[in-house]
Amino acid sequence: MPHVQVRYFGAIAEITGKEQERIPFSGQLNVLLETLKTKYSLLQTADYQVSVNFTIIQDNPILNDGDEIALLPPFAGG
Amino acid sequence: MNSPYLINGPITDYWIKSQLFRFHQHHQTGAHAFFLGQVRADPYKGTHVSAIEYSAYPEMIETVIHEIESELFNHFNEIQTIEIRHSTGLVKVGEVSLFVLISSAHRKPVFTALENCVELIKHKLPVWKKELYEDGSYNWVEPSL
Repeated sequence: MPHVQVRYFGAIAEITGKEQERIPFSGQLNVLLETLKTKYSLLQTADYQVSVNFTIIQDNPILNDGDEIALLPPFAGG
Repeated sequence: MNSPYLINGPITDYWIKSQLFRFHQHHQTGAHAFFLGQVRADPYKGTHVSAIEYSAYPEMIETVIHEIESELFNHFNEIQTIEIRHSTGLVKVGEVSLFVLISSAHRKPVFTALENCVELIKHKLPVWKKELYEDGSYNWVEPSL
């Protein structure tokens, strides 16, 4: 079964209670995101961007085994 | 994972001085401009910020900093050097959490490039900050753009 690595940062990590997890998953990104919103209901109203393998993306790719997905709340460096 | 662009804790005076010393070896350089981001004791609901806890996505930091550098090198072709460091972990009020240095043969491009660089960092660098207050409470900070 293919797996993806999902990472959480900042306020999002506080919602999920963890910084990362490995999830058995095969399919499109949006399906994974919906699964996560069901698992962590506060994600439904949270503000974040999504990266796949360290690149922020706007579309809905099919995920591959071993991909790293990250939920990135608004950046606040400096 | 560690990143060469991240420093654990505050960016110290000693580290900053060592960078400036290093650039004395660049004999084709005529101008350095640097920016230091420092933690402020902002008021918040009857208390004040005592420190900021920074977190980052180290694997992505490297890619984003390379993008920022190439954007600046392309736009300001006189620029010779760009150095960026950001803190992770705890940085107390009055301590430095961001260091940006731009060098060039002449003075004019460094000022504009420095401002551009700091703005790009604010918009693009995957860093988050949790403000810690004197009364023990905390808050995740929304970006100040």
